[in-house]
Amino acid sequence: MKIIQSPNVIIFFVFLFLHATMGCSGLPNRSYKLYGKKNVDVYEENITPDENNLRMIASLKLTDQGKQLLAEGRYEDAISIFERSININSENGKNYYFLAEAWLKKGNAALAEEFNRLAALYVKHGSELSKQVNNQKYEIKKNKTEQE
Amino acid sequence: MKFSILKRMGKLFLKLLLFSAICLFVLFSVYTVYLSLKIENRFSGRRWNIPSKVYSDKMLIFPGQKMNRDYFKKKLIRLGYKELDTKNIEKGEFFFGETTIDVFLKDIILSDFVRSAFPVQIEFYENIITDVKNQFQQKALPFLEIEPEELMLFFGPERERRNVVSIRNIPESLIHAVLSAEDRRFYSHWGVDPAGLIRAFYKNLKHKTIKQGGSTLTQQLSKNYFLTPERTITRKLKELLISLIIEGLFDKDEILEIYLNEIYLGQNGSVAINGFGEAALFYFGKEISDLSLHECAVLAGLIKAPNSYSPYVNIDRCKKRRDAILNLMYQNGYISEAVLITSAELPIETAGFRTYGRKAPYFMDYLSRQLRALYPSSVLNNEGLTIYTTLDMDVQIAAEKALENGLERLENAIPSLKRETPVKKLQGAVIVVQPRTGNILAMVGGRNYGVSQFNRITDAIRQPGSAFKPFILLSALDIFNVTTEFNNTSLSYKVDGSKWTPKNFSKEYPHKVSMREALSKSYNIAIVDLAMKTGIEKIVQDLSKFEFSTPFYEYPSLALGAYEVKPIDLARAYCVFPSDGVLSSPLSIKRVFDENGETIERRHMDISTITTPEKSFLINSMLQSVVSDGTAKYLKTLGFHFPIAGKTGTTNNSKDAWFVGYTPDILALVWVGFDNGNTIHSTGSSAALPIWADLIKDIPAFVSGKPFKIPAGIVKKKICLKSRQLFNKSACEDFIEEVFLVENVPSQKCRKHVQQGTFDKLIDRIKKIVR
Repeated sequence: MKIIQSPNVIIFFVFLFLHATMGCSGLPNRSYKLYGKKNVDVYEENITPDENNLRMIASLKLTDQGKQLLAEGRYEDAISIFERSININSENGKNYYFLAEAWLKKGNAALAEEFNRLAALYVKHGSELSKQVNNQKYEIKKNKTEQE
Repeated sequence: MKFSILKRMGKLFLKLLLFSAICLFVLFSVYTVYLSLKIENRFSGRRWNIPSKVYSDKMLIFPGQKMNRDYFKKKLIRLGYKELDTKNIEKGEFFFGETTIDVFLKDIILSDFVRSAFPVQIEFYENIITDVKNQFQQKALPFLEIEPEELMLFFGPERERRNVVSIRNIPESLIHAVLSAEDRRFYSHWGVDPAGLIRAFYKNLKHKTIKQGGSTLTQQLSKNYFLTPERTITRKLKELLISLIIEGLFDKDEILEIYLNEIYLGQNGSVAINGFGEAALFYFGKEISDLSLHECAVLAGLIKAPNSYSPYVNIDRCKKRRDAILNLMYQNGYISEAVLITSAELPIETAGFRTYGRKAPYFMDYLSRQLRALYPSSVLNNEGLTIYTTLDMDVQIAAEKALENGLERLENAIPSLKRETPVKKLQGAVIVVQPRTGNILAMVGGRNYGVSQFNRITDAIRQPGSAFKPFILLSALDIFNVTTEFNNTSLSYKVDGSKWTPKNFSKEYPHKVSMREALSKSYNIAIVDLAMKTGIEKIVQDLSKFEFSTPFYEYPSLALGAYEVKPIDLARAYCVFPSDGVLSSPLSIKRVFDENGETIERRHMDISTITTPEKSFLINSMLQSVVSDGTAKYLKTLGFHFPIAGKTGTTNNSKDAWFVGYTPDILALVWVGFDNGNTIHSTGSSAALPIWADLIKDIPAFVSGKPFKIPAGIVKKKICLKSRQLFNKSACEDFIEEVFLVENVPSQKCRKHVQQGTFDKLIDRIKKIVR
């Protein structure tokens, strides 16, 4: 009985209860960090599951469309689609990679280099795509020196 | 003898007469031809050219995106969709349910966008889209494109200021009304109406003045040819000649079309309302084809004296005039008596003086400037260009609304800011851009386009004040890091022989502050110290990469934003930070098609890396501090709980208030000030920030809520809360996490706490208690 009367125990159970209910709500909390100061609110926001994932999916679908156009040689159309896809998700590395491809094909090595640089920032290290990005980098360099 | 001389003289006289008659005739013919050419030139341009069209960008909808349902409904209505209150929708209709929206999308055939009709259902959880389904195929869609909105129709580069109408779009009732009001026998006379003339002559005789015109539409047009009115006989004769020429050059329908687009119909501040297309918008907020019969009568009645009969001036006089026109229409057999009676009973419902306006007019001006730079006027004057732009009408409307409300709020809070004359009123400007691509989503160049067409975003040059500080810091990051401390006590500098002492805005401030704190609290003194230690020359050199179109000079006041910039340049420069150090060109035109559907212009992202992703991140991080606990922390109280970076700016004597705020997906710049440089008695946070907040709140679709990505070359370190040096676990009490460039990580462990012996710690504790 003494244990139950102890306020700490009550607090502990309340704490547990709150955690349990939060877990049951089904909505993951997302928090992000701010640097440089103590006691700044670290914001938490309830978002639907996979919100970012859905954005990525939409973006990737557009990327696929662009890829198809690229294969058909419709460079201008492909570029427009990749640019649209960037607006949905700017962290989709594929867009930058394919944009670099398109501009390379169109003979603009300088712009290709810019997009390749961005692609390198957003592809997963060690992935197949990152290898392609690396190869692309050398191709662009080669192209540039040839142009000069 | 005398007789023969007389005869010879007579013959000579006749010859002379003949000769002078021929000369006169030739001269007259030459003059007529000359006039004809000028008239044709003057009026031809606006004849039934196929108009050029300007479209907004397509809208993208996808699951996971937040949506402002109210705005979406208004968009659908603008696109011509009809709202139903049941789910049984047909093509071109929509239904708004509790958690779903059903739209039966129309068939669209545009040069840039082709889609066959299908019904789609959008499902929501609160205001987040969870599903987008093609109801025909019962398939979930990863995204959905909504067709672009038609923003403007125009005939050539100068014409875009008017909503020009083709005779094919003009309702018959308007033509009947105008003919009844002004020129009943227009279609039958030859430029001059003898019956009308005689009546007018008689009336003039009676009143002994040249009062009544008796003018036909043609004559009115010819009067329009001259810039200044005159009532002399020579002028009258000239006008007569011109009328005849007009009738000779053009057929009746052509003359009517020209007339309906030329005629002066009132005043909107400093802008004249010419043509019925403009008038329909100005008085009734409608397209000309949507005018009702009695509204046509109102407009036709204006011709005689627009500023007298205007419904905005005197509604009773307007109604009387309208009824008189309706009566004439009945007398001429255009309408029945029944229609006359019912029409005369209708109240005149105007659009309201303020709501008049073209869609995104400042953006249109900017657009046409670009087009004129791209194409010769022969191409633009010709027909059928289709121009697809980057503009998003939802963002544009949100921006215009936020600006208008914000300025009014400010005037109400500070009555000394109110001005009587519209041209002198408090002004503002907003631009919204997608930082990565450079797409301009919205542009508001001023408070009221009708009052002032001056585009403050593209053409104003104003001091940015503290809104310029991030660029100073970017330069400094090559040498210092975010924890480096700078002097914040009164320092004087020698500038060109005289003493210059920068001052902080607040009365109390710490004597030493870190770079981060200097920016978040906008301490002037510390920033100048930072700038001098970095080297002003270096800063100016680094600034050149941002491609500002205005010059900077190597003076310490550069650090405080003393050198004027164009808001569009400032917005473009800020876009570098959320874009991993990449500068993009501002884009407004996406694609231009000619009348045959051939692409004649296509614009794409044009980028160049000007700084590193790491340094950009540090700026983003510091600008987030501005929002979390600095001069923009007011945003938190407004309910903004996602990562925002931003900077307020207030210039000397509060002549300018700025707020530039951005997320990884969107950037918006707001400026408030008087054109003549009067003080606005407010700061960036009190004047510009609330406008930014209102705008962003209305466009949740553009905010993903994601954080600024931390690039690879950033190192996180624990920093002693007191000394701002590396945290020593065994000695320091508390820490904060800070971010550094990998090449610039501080190595110095906290000296303050390590060196403290027990005695010093005791003194410290006592100090704490005393404080």
